[in-house]
Amino acid sequence: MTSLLSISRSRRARTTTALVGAVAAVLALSSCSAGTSAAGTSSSPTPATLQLGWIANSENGGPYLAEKNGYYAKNGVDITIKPGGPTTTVEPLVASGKALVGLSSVDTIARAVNEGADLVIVGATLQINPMSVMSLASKPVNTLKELEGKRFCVQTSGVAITDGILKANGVDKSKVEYVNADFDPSPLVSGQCDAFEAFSNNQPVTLKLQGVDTKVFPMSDYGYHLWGDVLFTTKEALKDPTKRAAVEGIVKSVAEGWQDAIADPDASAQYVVDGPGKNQKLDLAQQKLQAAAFVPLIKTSGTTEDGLLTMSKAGIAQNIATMRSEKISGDLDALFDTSLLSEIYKDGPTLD
Amino acid sequence: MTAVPMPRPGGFQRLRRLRFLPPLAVVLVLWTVAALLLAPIRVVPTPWAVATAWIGDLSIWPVNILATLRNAAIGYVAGNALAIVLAVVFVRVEWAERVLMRVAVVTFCVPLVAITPILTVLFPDDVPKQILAAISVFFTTLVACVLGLRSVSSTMIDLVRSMGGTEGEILRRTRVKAMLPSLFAGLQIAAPAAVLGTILGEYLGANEGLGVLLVQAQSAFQIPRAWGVAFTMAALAGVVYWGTGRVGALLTPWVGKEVSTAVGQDIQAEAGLATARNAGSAVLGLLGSIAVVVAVWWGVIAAFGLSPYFAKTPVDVLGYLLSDSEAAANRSVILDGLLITLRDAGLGYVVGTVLASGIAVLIVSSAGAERFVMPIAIVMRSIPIVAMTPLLALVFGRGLGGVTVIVTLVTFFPTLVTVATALRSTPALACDVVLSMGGSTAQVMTRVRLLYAIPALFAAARVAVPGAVAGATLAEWLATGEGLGSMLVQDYAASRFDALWSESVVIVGVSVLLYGGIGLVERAVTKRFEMRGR
Repeated sequence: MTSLLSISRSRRARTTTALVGAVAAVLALSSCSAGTSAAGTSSSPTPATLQLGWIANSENGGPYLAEKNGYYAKNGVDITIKPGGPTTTVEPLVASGKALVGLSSVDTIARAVNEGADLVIVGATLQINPMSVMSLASKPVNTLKELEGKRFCVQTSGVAITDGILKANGVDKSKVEYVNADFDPSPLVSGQCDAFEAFSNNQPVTLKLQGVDTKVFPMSDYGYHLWGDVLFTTKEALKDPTKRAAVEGIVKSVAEGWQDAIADPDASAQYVVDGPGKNQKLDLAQQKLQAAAFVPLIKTSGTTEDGLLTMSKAGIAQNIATMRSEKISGDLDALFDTSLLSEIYKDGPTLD
Repeated sequence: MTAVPMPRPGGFQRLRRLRFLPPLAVVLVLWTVAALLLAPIRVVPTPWAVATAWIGDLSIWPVNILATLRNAAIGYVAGNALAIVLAVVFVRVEWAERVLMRVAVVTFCVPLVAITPILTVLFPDDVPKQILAAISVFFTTLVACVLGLRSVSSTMIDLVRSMGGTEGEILRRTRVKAMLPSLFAGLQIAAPAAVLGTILGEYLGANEGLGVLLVQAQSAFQIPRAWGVAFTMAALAGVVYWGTGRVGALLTPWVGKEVSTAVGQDIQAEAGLATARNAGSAVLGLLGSIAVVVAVWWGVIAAFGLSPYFAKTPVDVLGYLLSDSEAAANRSVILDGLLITLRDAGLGYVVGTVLASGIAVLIVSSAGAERFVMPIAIVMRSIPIVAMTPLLALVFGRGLGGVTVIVTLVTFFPTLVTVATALRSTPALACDVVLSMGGSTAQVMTRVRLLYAIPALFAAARVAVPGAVAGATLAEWLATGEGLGSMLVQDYAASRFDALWSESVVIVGVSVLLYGGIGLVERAVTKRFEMRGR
């Protein structure tokens, strides 16, 4: 039975491969991708892809600055940085090996692991989660409790998380009216809702530049402790010496890139505007503000002690507690691998 | 037709060229008023703010337009070519249509959120965008093409056959000619769809393109730029629409001038007659379709060894819906969502079809109306709903009203073009008969043109009904937060791929059923007209 099945399966597989190959050949008129050779010797840099979760802007200043300053090459990686977007599928791309390292959020990765993805988190960019409640300064919502009786703009994909936070803080969810929103903050400005679930380093900054003052408080004040923009790869990659070295190289380069970006946020913004974001003609003033807004989220007392991207024991425990409150089950300890960070910071928290 | 040069005063000629100005002026005035009234909430920028932003962005338009246009063009050509080839096969080989048409419906209504992870994993760089563009045009062109190939009158076919013509000759001499008007209507519908499909692809992540620019502008609250991008998208789609129309007019000069003796004969078009002659073959056809879909679905997963965490197999879906310990609960959740989605889709479909048919009559009667309506229709069709939602939700709310508007937007354009084309391609003689008998132009419309448009109405429904379901899921995601559309996105965010795939299968299954239902209604209606004709 098994053998029969596997024979017919492999035959069908071959036909399908041929078929799909033909379709792909027709469609891929110009894109002949160079086969990535796995055999990377220590002397030649290993080709690897870093998949971002969002478009090329200050949010990704660290990874891009690392490329500009040659850190990936120095750390033995021939890097390709792929920007993301609203519907980017970072976890599948990393799980399938199309990208070696990806940027995403802790809980999404945990859920993917529970569904059978072989993923592991190796570094944490945002030590403080930027998810916040934003309201108009003229009509402020000051506490989570004040959301009761208000209309709250939440992204469809964020409903489950928000439910968890409200419940954990004794807010009567039945009194909060969710309004569907996307990343665009216009529903708040146009009065379709009273509060907007925002990222403190994004919408409040852009609105401020447009002359709209907002009141913002972070969800981390209410026990929401998830790191943001974490770097993750597959457990399988960490077992392969070449790939492991490349992952370590990427983590180290990103840390070095952020070190530069934090030292001079304006220069980081300037590079993002002139370099990776040049085709979007980003607003320099806005990018500078955004880059500055990232600094306190990335550089904390913890990172001063242990280095950027650090994943402290206490931090891991807080992340796990938050995920438990979101009803995420499984062996969450195994989600975090700090061995690469230990290796990178073996000579102290500053990189050179 | 002998060319008799009509001496025209040059001034008049120039004036005619400017005839687009009055409607443009009306739009600009309305827009300015809205912008000024809504200034405090910043949802509608003024025309001059958009113009200033657009001019300020001059340096980045070429690279972004070219990126989008390139991928859209590749998808447009590939998707349409495949559709045309398949349509010809369908007309020649009956069982192929019976089995594969449903598979084509599946490509049209499968929720993209289920397949985009697979596309991005399987294909390099820009290819997923091109595939999304191809998918966006494939089905509508296929339907238009099949409709055209079948719209040849049976007397014509009998004539060629009686003169000893082979099936191949019938195809070449009559069917291809009959197909062209409908094909070009299909290619016109495909123009904004290809742009839109590419934009959706760019939302997956890209270095440049209008979709990236739109995301950037929206997330940075640069509303004038967002509008500039939206108009640029619409202009791109409009240029392709207009160009396809011109080529179509050149290649089909006979449209509407056909000297045909057949009054009402085209109603007997074979559309739908080739489907299921008896229950047995219908069941066989359905099983064949399911087999093809399952084989491709499973085959791709097996062939590429896709990770079982995001690529679920038919067995996973059956387990989730039927045999798991929580299957009953899963089913009831999905059923609740489905009912909401069907309500949303149904209402939007009805409104969209009534509106589109009415406006089709209007634009066929008046060239002025066409110049006014078509640009707006193209703009509305080629701007991603995600970009319009803040404005639509503001005006129409986030309840049933907003959903209906969004679904209407999705179904309106293909129906409008298909029905208008059919109204136009009514043989001139048929119209003349009514006119010569003292009938008015209005009577020509009600007695003759509408009759000829009935097959087109069904062809439009074949596109619009699955389109309405897809539109409803989109609206539910972006505006209401209930129904299958919202569930898909929540499950995606939570990596619940079992649920995601099961919901997708339900959406696809229901869409295919509805599609089959249209065929049944069509046959009943066609039969009725046949009886009357005799």
